[in-house]
Amino acid sequence: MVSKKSYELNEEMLNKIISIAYGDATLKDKFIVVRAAKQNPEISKALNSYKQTAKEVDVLREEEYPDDLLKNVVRKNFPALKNATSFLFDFYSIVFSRPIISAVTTIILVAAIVTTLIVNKPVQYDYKYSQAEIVNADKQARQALAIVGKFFKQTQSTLENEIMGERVAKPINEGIGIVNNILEGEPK
Amino acid sequence: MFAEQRYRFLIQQYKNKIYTYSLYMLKNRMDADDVTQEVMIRIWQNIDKFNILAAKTWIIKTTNNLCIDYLRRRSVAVKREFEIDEFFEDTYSKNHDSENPYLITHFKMIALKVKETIQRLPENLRSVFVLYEIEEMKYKEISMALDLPINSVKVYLLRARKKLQKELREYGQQEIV
Repeated sequence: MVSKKSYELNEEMLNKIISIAYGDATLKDKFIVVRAAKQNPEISKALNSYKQTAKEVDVLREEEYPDDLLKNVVRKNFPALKNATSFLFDFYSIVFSRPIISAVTTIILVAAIVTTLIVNKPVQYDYKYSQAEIVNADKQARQALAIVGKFFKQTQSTLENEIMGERVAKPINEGIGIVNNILEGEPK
Repeated sequence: MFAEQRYRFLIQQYKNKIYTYSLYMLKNRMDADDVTQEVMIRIWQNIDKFNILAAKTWIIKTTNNLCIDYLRRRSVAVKREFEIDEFFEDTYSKNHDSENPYLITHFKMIALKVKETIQRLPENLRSVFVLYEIEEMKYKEISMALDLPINSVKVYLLRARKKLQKELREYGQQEIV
């Protein structure tokens, strides 16, 4: 049960009222003050009064430093600054005035790079072959080699018997005979 | 490396903060101009020494120290009277955009009245109040910039709010009378 004392406008309550008016009170304090304000018109009045002041303070903004003064200061003290590259300045401004945007962009870029590396990673086979599979593969390889060997043998015999004898050696022999005849002269 | 870019960025980012703080603390446009210029020069001289992400505290600390120096010098020399409102531009929230000349004048009057009352606050309360309410700095930043414990910052802020409330209500009653 809330005691009657908690609805009194004492120093503690006033501090809570001020925090609420300026928008930096905790939820608990808000609850206490709103409830107290319903019970005690004095608290309600103080709350409204402080809220009014806070509202008036809230309209205040930073004063603008005049541009012509800034130009004068730069011209007088830092003449070299006039030629500063605007791209680098823009880059700096983006990175440091919007650190959250820069951080998010960096995270997205890093995530994209990591994803690309993971997706394009070369496939690695860790499969272990059984002894039967190895024997079978060996047998198949031997068969394949035997077939290839048979073809080579057939090709060799064809080459030796048919092509080399008939198509190569015979014309060469005939050619050599003709040359001999020419060099030795026709038999009389 | 990138010293010029760093400098230009810092100036763009903090020139109004330096100027506003100086204006509220010194209550004089010419002194505020001088302090702002001096801070700009000091930033350039130290551009390679401080971390750009922690520059805000350094800049406000430097501004505060210079303002204190000015105030001390001024108290030794001729004591100036309050020179308040004429030094402020019409800077008030754009939330009050209105075409009604009466409302515009009304909001300007309120802003002026509040600024005047802030300037009447004692120096220690004023600095904390301006940094928190107008420059929107956090307790920790203010604590670092002014070399005060965080609890003192909170207490000063509370006192400043109470005093401002009192002064403004008294001002309001005088107006009604």
